[in-house]
Amino acid sequence: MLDSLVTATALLGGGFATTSVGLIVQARRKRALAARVTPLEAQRDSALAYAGAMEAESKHFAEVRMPALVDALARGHRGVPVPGLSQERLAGSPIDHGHQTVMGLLQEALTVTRDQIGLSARSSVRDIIDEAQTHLHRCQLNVVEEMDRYPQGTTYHQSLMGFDHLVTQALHTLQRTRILAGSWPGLQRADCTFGEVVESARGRINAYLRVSYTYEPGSGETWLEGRVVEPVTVALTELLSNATAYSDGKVFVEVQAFQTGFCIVVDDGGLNMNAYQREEAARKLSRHTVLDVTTLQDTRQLGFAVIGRLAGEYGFAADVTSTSPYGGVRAVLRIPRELFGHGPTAEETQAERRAAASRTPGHASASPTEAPPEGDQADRRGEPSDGSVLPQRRRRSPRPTAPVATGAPAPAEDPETFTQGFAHLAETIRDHESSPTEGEQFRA
Amino acid sequence: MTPRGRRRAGMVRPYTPTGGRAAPTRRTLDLATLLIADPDKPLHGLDAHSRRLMQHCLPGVLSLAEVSADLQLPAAVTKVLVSSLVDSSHLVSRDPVPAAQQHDRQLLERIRDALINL
Repeated sequence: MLDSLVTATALLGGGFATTSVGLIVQARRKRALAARVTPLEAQRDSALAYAGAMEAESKHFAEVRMPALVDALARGHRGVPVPGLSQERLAGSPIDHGHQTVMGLLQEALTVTRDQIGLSARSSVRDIIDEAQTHLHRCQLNVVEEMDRYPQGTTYHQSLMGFDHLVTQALHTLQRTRILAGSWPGLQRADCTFGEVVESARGRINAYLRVSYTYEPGSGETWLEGRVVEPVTVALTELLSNATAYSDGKVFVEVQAFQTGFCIVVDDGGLNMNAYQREEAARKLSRHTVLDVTTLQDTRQLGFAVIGRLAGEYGFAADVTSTSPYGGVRAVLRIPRELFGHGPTAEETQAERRAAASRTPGHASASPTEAPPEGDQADRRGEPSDGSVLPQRRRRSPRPTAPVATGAPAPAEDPETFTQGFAHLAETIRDHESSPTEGEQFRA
Repeated sequence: MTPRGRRRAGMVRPYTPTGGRAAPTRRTLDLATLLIADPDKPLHGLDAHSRRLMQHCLPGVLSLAEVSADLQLPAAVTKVLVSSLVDSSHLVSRDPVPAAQQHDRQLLERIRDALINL
């Protein structure tokens, strides 16, 4: 009996203990779970808030930041601010980095595209200009040839000069365009004197009669290196064209020597520039980079940009910030001594003179026909009419050698005839050498 | 002689030194006319090309063709410059020895012979 009671009690006791242990464990687990839920809920809340911020940020990026960037970079609107992050808490986050990378890529893509378009546009501009320049240059050569054909000045020469002036101005316009397109002036000259440079620049502007050049043999006969002759001339032309455009009186040009080189000084008596214009001019003159043709502001004011580009490329300097004694602008081109040249050698000069002397009898023999130019013209016009048949070719070839042919019976005995023949040969070679440089294989 | 010289030639356009004038004040000048400079005349006040022309002529006698080649200008333009220098008596012009006569005669004879052969 007792046994059964003990057993029952033991069983009950064991059951109670088990239950109470189970309850304790359960209560502890519950407490632990509750403790885990609170931070998880907080985490969820913050994650939701973060996701919301990211969503808002992405929207802000697509709708505000990118359009502003496109306006500022691609459309070139000035003063458009590109806003930063809308959600401050995202600063430095991966999404911020991602957005910055995208913006950087957009900028890069724009630059690359612009550069490529600029490059191809510039090269095609150069190609087109090359061709036009060649034609105009040949036109200039033809004018001089035509003038040489009739050594007596006539009204015909007068109209030739008029044409020449127009052609020369057109050529200058082409040259400045190709310089803005990042090219060289397109023409290589031999060493020239400062006097020639000034006279040449004078001839390239419209109002050249208003330019007064005070010639001094010391500076005017100094040689400038052939490589920089065209650049300096084009830059000076721009300064002269400015000076004559903004004044209606005389424009005075002088070449002055200073310790490390020469200054070409252009003084006008016209309108002076205000402080803002001076600053702008100085900025343009010091900008040596190739201009992006797509972002040019005002196509009427490219002169300073042309000069700045040439000055940077060839190592001279330009300044327009001082006032001339006549109240207008004093523009100065500073050319350092390193750019000075040597000029032709005595031999070259001698050969040129001999060639000219040998040309004289040829012309003298033609002088009877030259008196009435109409007669000479009729004579020339007669040439092509029978030029379809062979005799014309027979006539052309003996003509240049005609003075030599007169001494042909004894060429070896007569040294003078020999030199003449040589000079003629030199002239012919020179003519042939110079013609392919103009881009044409045959002469008209 | 070299192409260098050639490329210097077109540098100054013909209308620039004469101020656009094409007709000389006198029509007696020829390519073979000899020019003698007056060394007593002052050179001040002359324009660049006239002054260079005078400097070329001062050492001795030069023909108009030679001067024209020195200045790299067409003969007609040189004549305009020379004639105004002759007007201001900076230069004296002298007619050359007529050396062209026999050339002409030979040429005419050759043309005649060729015509007969045809």
